[in-house]
Amino acid sequence: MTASSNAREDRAIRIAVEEFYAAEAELLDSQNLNAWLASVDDDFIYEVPVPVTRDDPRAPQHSTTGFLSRETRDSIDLWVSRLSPALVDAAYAENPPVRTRHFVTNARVSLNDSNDGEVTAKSNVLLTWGKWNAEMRFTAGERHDSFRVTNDGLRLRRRRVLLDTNVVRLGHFRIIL
Amino acid sequence: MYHGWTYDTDGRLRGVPGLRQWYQPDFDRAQHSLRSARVEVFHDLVFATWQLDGPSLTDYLGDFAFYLEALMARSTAGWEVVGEPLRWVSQTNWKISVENFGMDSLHLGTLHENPGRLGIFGGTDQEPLAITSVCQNGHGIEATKFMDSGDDRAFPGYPEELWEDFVANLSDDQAWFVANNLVCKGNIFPNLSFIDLFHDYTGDPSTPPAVAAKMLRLVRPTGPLSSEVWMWILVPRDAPEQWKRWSQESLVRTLGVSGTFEPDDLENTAAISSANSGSVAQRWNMLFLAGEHLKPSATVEGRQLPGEVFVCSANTESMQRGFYREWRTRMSSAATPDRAGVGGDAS
Ligand SMILES: [Fe+2]
Repeated sequence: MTASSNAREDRAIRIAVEEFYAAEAELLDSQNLNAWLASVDDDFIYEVPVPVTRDDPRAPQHSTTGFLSRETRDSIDLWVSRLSPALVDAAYAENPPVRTRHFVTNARVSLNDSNDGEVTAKSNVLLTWGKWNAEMRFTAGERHDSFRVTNDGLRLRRRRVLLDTNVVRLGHFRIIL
Repeated sequence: MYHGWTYDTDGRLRGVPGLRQWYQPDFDRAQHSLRSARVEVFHDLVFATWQLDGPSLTDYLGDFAFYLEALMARSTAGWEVVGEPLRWVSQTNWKISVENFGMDSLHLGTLHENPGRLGIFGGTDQEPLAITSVCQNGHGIEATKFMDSGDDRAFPGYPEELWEDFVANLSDDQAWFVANNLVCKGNIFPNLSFIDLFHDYTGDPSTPPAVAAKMLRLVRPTGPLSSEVWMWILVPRDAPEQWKRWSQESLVRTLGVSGTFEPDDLENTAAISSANSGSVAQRWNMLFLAGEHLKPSATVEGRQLPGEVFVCSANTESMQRGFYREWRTRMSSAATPDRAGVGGDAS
C-alpha cells in the first residue's frame, strides 16, 4: 500500500469516528436507545469507573475496581425494554424524558490497531441535562472507546468514561455518556 | 497546613510557627488540641461520634445489636468492600431518602413496577413473609423471608460452600433470621442503611440467576432538600472472585445511581421532598398508616426475636413509625430549642 493511500484510509477512519459520534449523540439525545444499541457490538461493555481523589497527584484518578456503571449490550437491552410502550408509563426516571445534549469534541483516533479491524479513540464529552423546571445540570469526562471496523461501518466494542467529578450530580445516572 | 500548626497522633498541638513573635507570651498549646471523636468498632464497622459523653455503641445499638451482628459477623473471613464507594447527590430530604431505601417496601409494586415486570426482582411464586423488628433508638430491620424452603440454613444467592460458616458464626435465632431471605433491609438511626438481597436477573445471560448482594448506604444531609448518598458494596472475603464481580454488578445495575431501581427512587423522592416543603403540605402530617392494625408478636415460629416484632404477609410501615418517633423525640428535646417545631412532621 502506498503512503498516500494509507493517509487517505486514515482520514476516512477519522471521519467515520467523528460521524459516529455525531450520529450516536442524536440517537441518545432523542431517547432512541434502541437504534443506538444497534450500533454497538455483541460483546460491548460500557463502564464508568468511580472517580477517586488520591494523595499522590500522579496516581490514576479513577478506580480499577469500583464502577458507577458497568453494562453490557444485554443489560442495556433491559433499559430499552423499560422504555417500551407497555412499560414506559412506569419508567419514572425517563418519563417525562430527560433532555440531554451530548457535546463530543477533541476526538483523537488511534489507528495502530486498524490492521486487526480495531480502532481506538479518545474524546471529550460534555453532557447537559434538563428535566422539568430544574436548573440545567451538566457533567463532563473523557471517553475511551474502541471500535470494530466492519463492512457496515464502525461498531462500538467498548466505552470507558472517566468522569471529572467524584460525585454524580445529575438527577440520576441511567444514561450513556 | 494553612498556618502550619502541627499535632501529634493523639491530637495534641506540638508545633506553632511564629510562636514567640506572633502570639501572646503565655500561649498554651495544651488548650488547642484537636477535637476528639469517640470511636468504637462493631464487627469491622467503625463508628465515630463527637459526643464524648453519650451512650456507648453497645447501648446505642441496644436490641438492634442482635441483628447487626447477624448481618456482619456471619462470615469468618469478614466482608470486603468492592471498589470505592459510589456517591451521588439527591434533591431529597435525608429522611425521605433513608426511609425510602432502608425501610419502605410498599413502593416496590408501584414505583418499581417497571423492573418488576422486566423480571429483575421478586419473581417468586412463594408468598414471602415480612418480619419487621422495631428496635430501640429508632433502629429497625425487616426480613422478607421464604417460610417453606425446606432448609432453614440456606442463604439463597450466596455460594453454597459459605452457608455452613454463616450458620456456625451465629446463634440459632440469628441464623434463622438472616437465612432464607429474599431481602433483608433496615436502618441504623439516623442515616446508615443496609440491604442484603438477591435479584433474579440483571441483564447478563451468562451470569447465574439470583446472585446475592449486600450494601451499606449512608445519607449525608447537605440541605433541607439535598442529600449525598454513599454506597458501599460488601462481599464475603472468601467468596470466589467471579462471584464477587457478579454480586457487584447486580447492585450497580439495580440499586446504584445508574441502576434499574435507584433512578426511579431518586425521581420520586425528589418530587415528594419538593411537594412536601410547600406551604399547603406543611399543614398536614405525612401518613405512615400501613400495618397500624398489627399487634407485636411475642414469638415468631417459636423464636423470641429482639425488638417489637411484627409479622405479616405483606408490608408494614412499622419501621418508619419507629424512625420518625425517634426523630421527633430528638428534635423536640432541649438540644435545639430554636429549631424545634420548624417544619413540623412534614419537613
Ligand atoms: Fe425503591
